[in-house]
Amino acid sequence: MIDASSGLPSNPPAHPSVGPGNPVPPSAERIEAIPSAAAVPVDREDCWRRIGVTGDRSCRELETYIHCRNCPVMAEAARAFFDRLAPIGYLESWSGILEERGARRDLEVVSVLVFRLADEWLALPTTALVEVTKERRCHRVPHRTGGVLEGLVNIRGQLQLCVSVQRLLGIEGAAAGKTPPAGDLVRVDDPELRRLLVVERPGRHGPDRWVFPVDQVAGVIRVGQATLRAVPATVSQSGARFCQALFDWQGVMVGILDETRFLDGLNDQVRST
Amino acid sequence: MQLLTFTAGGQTYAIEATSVVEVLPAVPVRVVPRLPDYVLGVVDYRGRLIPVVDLAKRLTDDFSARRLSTRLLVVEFSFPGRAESSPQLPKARLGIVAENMVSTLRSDDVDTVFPTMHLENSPYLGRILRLNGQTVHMLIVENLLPVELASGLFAAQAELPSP
Repeated sequence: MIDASSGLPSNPPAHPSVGPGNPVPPSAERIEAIPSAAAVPVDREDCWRRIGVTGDRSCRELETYIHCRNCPVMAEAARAFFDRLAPIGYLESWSGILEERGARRDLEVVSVLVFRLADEWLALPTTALVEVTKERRCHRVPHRTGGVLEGLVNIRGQLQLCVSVQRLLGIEGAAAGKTPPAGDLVRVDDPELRRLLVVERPGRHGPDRWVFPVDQVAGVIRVGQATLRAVPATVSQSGARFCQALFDWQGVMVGILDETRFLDGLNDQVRST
Repeated sequence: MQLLTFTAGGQTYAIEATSVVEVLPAVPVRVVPRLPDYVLGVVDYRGRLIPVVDLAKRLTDDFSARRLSTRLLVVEFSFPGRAESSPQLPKARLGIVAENMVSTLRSDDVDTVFPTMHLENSPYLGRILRLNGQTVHMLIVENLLPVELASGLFAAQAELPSP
């Protein structure tokens, strides 16, 4: 997630007044960036288009906030944007949308986190998800590794069980020489994109928490129930029994893991080894 | 804990995100005569009429300003007295119009700085929290309408055949 905000010497600094090692609060920087800030209406102040993620990414604040959507300047601009009268006819058009009974079906959506393990795209209901975090060292447990259990990992000061979902589902590792399946536009093979997912469900003795590494996280998406497809009974992969449904997303087939079966599977595997 | 925040009379109030059904633009409402002034009327919400309360008018003297940031929040709760008698009935739904409904607050580190006051005239006020440097007053949405009014409005809602 490191971007070019550190400032290449060839790029002229967007904020001449802001020297390195001299962080300025965003509000001060904003005023300095635009000579007559007071005269410029707030809705025209679009630093994210000039120096932010949709601009040349030279804004120093990106080091702190990573993306403009996390930056207080943009939050303030968004607040200012909504602080005006609704366009004529806008609210009325919404009355029409709400009166449609058919719209009810659109509400029946599941929110899932889409991630990739080797060549497989999978999804997990966000209700089971606690956090997505950077990959970190996993401490092996003597005589207990080699199976699904990878070891212990430190998540916010607590040691959690780290497992290999790839091994649980029987997904083959991506071979070095193998070309990735065509048509997969979302896939980016970069070790920097590896993440740890933390999942949880209430257990008998407190929450039942697991951590597992994934190769890429695509994000949270909402899937309409109507677009879900049943898992074909003929699928030979052993991992299919952990999936509750499939859906087509940006040209790839994504399997939604059944969180109960999946976590039961983890429990069985780890307790039995 | 994730909270949806909004304001009334310049003060920040919040409800827990788990009770939110949807946040919508403040669509025009159908006025129902002879209701208290803070009940704006009813809105056809996906085939079901739901009562709409103006939070600013309920809490202060003025109505909410008509801005894009003033939105209609649809909340869902089990209405006391109804869940016991017939648990299969759909939950009561209420629309709340409030200003500056544009952000959520999320924090694991929540500090209650003031407990619920249990005031007779404002039973809808919950505890006061401090999180991420902001002081927010929790709303008890079930209590926004007085019991008699709520039973009348929500009883009508319950009689509808569930689609």
